Amino acid sequence: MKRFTAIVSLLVITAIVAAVNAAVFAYRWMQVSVSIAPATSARGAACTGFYSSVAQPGINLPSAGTNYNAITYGANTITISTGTPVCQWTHGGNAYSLYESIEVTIPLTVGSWYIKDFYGFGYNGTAADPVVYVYVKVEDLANEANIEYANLIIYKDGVQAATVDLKSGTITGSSIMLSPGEALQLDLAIKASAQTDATFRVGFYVGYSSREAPR
Amino acid sequence: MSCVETMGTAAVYRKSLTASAVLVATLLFSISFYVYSSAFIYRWVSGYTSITNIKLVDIASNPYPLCIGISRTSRSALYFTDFETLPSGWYQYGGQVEINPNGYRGSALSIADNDQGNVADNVLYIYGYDLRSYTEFWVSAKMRNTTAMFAMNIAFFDNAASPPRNIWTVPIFASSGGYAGINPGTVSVYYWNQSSGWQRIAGPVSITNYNPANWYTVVVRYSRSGNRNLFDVYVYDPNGVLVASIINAQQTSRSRPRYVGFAVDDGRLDVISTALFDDFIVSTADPRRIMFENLPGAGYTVEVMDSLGNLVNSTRTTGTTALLGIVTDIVVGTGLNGKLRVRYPNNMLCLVTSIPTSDATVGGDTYRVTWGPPTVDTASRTVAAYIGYGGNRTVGPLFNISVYPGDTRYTYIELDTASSSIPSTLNLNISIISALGAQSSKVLIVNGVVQSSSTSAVALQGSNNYVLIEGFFTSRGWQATLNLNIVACSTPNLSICVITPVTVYLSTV
Repeated sequence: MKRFTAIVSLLVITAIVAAVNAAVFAYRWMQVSVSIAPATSARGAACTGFYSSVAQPGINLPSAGTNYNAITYGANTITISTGTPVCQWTHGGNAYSLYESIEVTIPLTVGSWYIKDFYGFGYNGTAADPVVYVYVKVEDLANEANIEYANLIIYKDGVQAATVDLKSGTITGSSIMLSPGEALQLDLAIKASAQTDATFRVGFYVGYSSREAPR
Repeated sequence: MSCVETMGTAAVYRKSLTASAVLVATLLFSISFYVYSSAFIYRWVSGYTSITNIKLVDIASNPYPLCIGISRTSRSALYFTDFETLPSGWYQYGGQVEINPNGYRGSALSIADNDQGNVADNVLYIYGYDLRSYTEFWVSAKMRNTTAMFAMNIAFFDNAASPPRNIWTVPIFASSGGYAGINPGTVSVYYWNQSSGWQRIAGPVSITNYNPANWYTVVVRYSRSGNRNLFDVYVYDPNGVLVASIINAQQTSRSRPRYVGFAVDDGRLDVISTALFDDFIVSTADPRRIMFENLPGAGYTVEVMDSLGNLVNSTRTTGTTALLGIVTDIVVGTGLNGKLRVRYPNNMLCLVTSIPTSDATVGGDTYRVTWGPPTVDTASRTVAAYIGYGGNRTVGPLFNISVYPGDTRYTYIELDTASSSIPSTLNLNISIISALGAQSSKVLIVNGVVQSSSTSAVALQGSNNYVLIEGFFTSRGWQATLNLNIVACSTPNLSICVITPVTVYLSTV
C-alpha cells in the first residue's frame, strides 16, 4: 500500500507541476503613442504631397499640374480628385495644400497618348528643412490585355527623373531627391490597341535616406 | 581598504562608465539612424483610363498625285542663240558686228551699217549652216532699231561662205530711208538678185501701233514648193500680240534659200546706225510654242520661267497635253537654264524643273511630265511615293491627315531621325497644311542632314488637312525611309497628345 501511495503522490505532483507550468506567461508590452498633428503643423517629409499650381494659383512651389483638367478629345477632360490635405500653409495671404493622394481619370482613344504634367508632387518647407527622397512603387499594375504600354514619367526641373512601367512595375531611375521648394511633374505615356479600361496605383514613399527603399 | 586600492577602483569605475557611455551613444545613434532611415511618408496616385475605340487622327490618300519630273522628248530647233557672246560659224559682209549689253534679256547682237563694202547695199550677217535639205523650216528673231535705221531684216541667202547672189529679206522699215513707197512701221518680203536688184514680193503691211523703240519678234516660216519659195511672216509686239502678218508670199526661182541670218541697211550714206537682234532660232517646227505631254489632267497650269526669274508664259490645261506660247521670248531668258513649273488646279506648285546651265528652253521643244499618286496604306500607316531627282523638285501633298469630327487637334510632325534611313542625296522639307490653309514650319533635310526634325503645330479639323513635301534626290536610284510621328494635341500648349506613327518610303522612278 505504501509503495502505491508513493507512486500516486509522484503522479499527482507531476500533474500539478505540469498544470502550473502551462499557465505561466512571460509578459512584455509595447506602448505606442501616436500624436496626429494638424496639417498646418506638418514639416519635413510630412509636408510633401500632390498639388496643381493651376488649381492653386500663386502657390510657392514650381509650376506643375498645369494640365490637371485639360481636354483629351472632344469634350472629354482629365479629372482629378484629391485626397486628404496633409500639409497646409499660407503664403501671400492665401492658404495652400498638399494632398495625400490623387485619383486621376483620363478618357482616351485607341492609339499612343502622351499626357504631360497632369499633376505635381511638391515639398514645401524652409531652407532649414532636410532634403527628402522620393521612392515610387507600382502597387496596382495596368496590365489589361489591350494596353501595349503604360508609363508614368516623372520630371524634375524639366529633366526626366524616373520612369515607372505601369505594366511590369519596373522603375527606371533611383530615388528622387527633393529640397524644400522643389517639385515633380507627372506625365503619362500610354498606348492601347483596342477599347479597354485600365487602372493603376503608384505609391510615393518619402523618407530621409537615399540608401534604403521601402519594402 | 588601502588608498591605493581606492584609487584603482575609481579608475576602473571611470573607464567602465566611459565605455558604457560610448556604448549607449552608439546604440542611440544606431537606433536613431535606423528609425530615421526607415520612416516613410506615404502618398499615392490612383489612375483610371477609359479608352474608346475611336481613331482620333488618321491618314488618308490625297486626291492629287505628285509630279515627279519633266524631261524633254524632242527639240525641233536646229540652231539657237541668245547672243550673250558673239556666235561662231557666222559670216559677216560689211558693217560692224558686236555684242551689246542691252538685249531683250541679257545681251543682244548689234549690227551697224557703216556703208562700206556691203552686198545688196546691206550689211549681211549669215549663219553658216546649210539648210538645203529642208523643204520647210522656221526662222525667228527679236529685233529693235535705233535712230535713223532704215531697214532691219531677217534674211535668207543662197550662200554664206562667199557673198550671196540671191537674198530674200523680211524687213521692218523704221523709216522711209528716202525711198518713195517705203512706209515706216511696215513689214514686207523682198527678193534681191545680183543682176536684177531689189524686188518686193509681198507687203507692205502696217505694224499695228508701231513704236520704233519696241522689240519686235519676227517669225518666218519658209517652205519650198516646186520652184516656188514661200514665206509666211508673223510680227509680234513685246507683249506677244500679233501686230502684222503676211501669209503665203511667193517667189518663183530656181534659187532657194540655204542659209539664214540678218541684213541691215541704214538707207543713207554717211549715217551710221545700228539694229539689235536677239533670240535667234532656226527650227523645223513652229518655234512660237512648246508642248507638254502626259500631264495629270485638266486644270493644271504649266509655266516657263527664264533664268532671271521672269515668267515667260503660262497656260492652264484642258487635258493631258498643253501648248504654251513663248513668242515673247522664244530663246528663253539668256538662252541658259531657266525653269519649267507645273501647278495643281488650285494653283499650288506641283513641280519645279530647273533647266541645267548647259541647256535652255526654246520654242518647238516638247516635254513629257511624269507623275504618280502616293500609295497610302491606312492599316499599316505606310506611305510610298516617287519624287523627283536631279533638277526636278517635287512639291505636293503626300497624304491627308483626318481628325475625328468635331475635334480640333494642334498638330505637328516630328521626324524620328534615329530610326529613319536618309541618304545624303535627299533634300526634302515636310510641313502640314490645314484645311483652312495654315502652314506649319518645316522638317528640313539638306543633303541627307536633318537640320530641323520637327514642324511647328497648326490647328487641324476635319479631313482636308495634308502633309506637304517639297524635295528631290540629287540623282537617280535612291530611296529613303522616314519614320514620322504625327503628334496631335488637344491643347495649344501641346501637352495632351495622341501620337500617330507613319512610315514614309520615298524613291526615284
